[in-house]
Amino acid sequence: MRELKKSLIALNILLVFVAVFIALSVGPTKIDGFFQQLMQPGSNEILWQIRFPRVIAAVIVGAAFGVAGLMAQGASNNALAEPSILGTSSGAALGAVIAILFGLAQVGSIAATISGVIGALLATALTLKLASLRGNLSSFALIIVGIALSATLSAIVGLTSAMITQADARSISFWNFGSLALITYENLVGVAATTLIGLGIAWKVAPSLDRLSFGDDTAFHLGINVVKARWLALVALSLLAGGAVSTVGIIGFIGLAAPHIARFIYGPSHRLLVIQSALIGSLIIVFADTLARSIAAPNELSIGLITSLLGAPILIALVSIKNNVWRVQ
Amino acid sequence: MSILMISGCANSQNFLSKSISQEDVTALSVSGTQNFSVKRVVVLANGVAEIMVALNAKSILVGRDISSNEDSLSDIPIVTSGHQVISEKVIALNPDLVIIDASTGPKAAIEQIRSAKIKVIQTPESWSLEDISPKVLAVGSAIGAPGAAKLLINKLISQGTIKQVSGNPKIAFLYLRGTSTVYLIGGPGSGADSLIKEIGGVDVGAENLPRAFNTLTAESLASLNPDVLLVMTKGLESVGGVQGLIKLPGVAQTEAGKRKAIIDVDDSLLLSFGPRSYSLLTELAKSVEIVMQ
Repeated sequence: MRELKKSLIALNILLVFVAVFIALSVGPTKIDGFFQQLMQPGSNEILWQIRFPRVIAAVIVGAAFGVAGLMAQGASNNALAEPSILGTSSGAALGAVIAILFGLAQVGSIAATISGVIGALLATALTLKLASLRGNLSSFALIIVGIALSATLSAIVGLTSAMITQADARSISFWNFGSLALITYENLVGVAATTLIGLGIAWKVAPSLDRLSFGDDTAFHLGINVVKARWLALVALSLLAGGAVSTVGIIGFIGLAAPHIARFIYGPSHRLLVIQSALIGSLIIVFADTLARSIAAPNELSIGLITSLLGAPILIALVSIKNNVWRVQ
Repeated sequence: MSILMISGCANSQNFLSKSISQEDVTALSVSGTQNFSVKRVVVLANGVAEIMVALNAKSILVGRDISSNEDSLSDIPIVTSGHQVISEKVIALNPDLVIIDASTGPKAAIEQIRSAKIKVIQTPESWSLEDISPKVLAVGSAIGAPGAAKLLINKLISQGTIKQVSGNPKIAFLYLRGTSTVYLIGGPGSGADSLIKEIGGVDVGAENLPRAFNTLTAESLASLNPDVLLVMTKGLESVGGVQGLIKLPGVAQTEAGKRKAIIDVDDSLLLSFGPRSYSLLTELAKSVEIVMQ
């Protein structure tokens, strides 16, 4: 069984490489001598200055959104949680937009990433605080409060971005539906750093999340510092979602779809799920972004629409086949 | 005397970009006191306000749309929000004529104006030099000054040949908005295509794309590879000026981006197709020659 899981991880890594290769080779422009150009970094401008940073960004933010969803579900012990539902994504967008409003950052800059992470952390903490005002954190309260807070923060993002006159402020549609269209190498630095740190924390906290899935009391008796584990997961969630949202906007559904697809295939162990949610998230975003920029070429489609179109049917199909994959058995 | 503004320079590199403002062009007009059939006119059609000024009818202009933002009109109240007509503001000005065109909206607002017993006349839109004469005549007829309109048309027609640029440069018209993540590029019927054609350039958008305005991926823009980018002044400001524009993926890889061959034209001037368009074409041709050097 362990060997099988290792093989599946290897297979998924291979799939991500294949997807990256296909994404680099496909686009509205035909690149003559693609293999030759690929072997010579910097040789072809469209390949190396436009497509390459965009595909790498897709890998990074896919992994970030995928594991952010896993952390959201693990920390709240709620299968429905994801960054967009807990207010994390809209908090990140608001953090970045405020920094841009005050001229402190530009989209994709490290300053915007930091602001996004802070916004994400504050919004998520606020959701959890408000949802547990009347005692224990109930799933119902968490989802309702999260949706309400997300809506409020998104509205503020809309109002704020309408007020911004700074260049590169981006519109509400960018913050709501996401886009990888204008990614440059410079934009990758901040999100790569937050994603790496976020993945590291997620890996570290993963065994505690296994215990937390039995409920706070059981986890406590199993020797878990529940408060610490939950906070670590929230910090990972905020780093991952905050970095990704401040760079490419909110790409919905990956945070929900990637961990659930991973659970269906690999079971509920969080360490495995960290790896697999990252790989599946990357796969979906790389695939979706390739479609977004090539199926209606030379026009560009919204990636958020494609991820929903791709992710939702897969999720529905998986749940209808097998729906008991939530807790450690 | 027309003066082309040099946008600026960074370090030792000279910028080749050019800016064409309202002051750089001259508007043809007719003089003399006119008698008009109407007293209070609200204009909600692109380019009609400047035709009224050229017909010496500014005295009866009481309201305008946001796209009519020439300096000479600054004392006339705006009755639109964005490009949306606010019927209450129009009716409050108590006009006896409202001039619209096919693009004026929302239609419900126009119906509300009509239901307030205000006369509404639709004049034709203009997207090329050929469209200017019928539009001027329609505006002149609407305000009861067809004679002045014919006089203005004769002045426009007698402008003679338009300066041509050499080497058939590839030009692309980009409609920029700093907040957008896709490029909106002019194609056939954008208006910019006819300007580019008049001065002897090749509009790469019109040659290769299907619609008047097309959302474009960065790499498609790079592969169209224009020699010159034509943009509106406020659009250019919204992406952080020339420096911001040439950093954008897609633009950075074009010949125009590499050589900073960017021409920005005042927003109200570029696609107004009216009394200033002939002068604009002369300035545009000069600017293309300079940025292509």
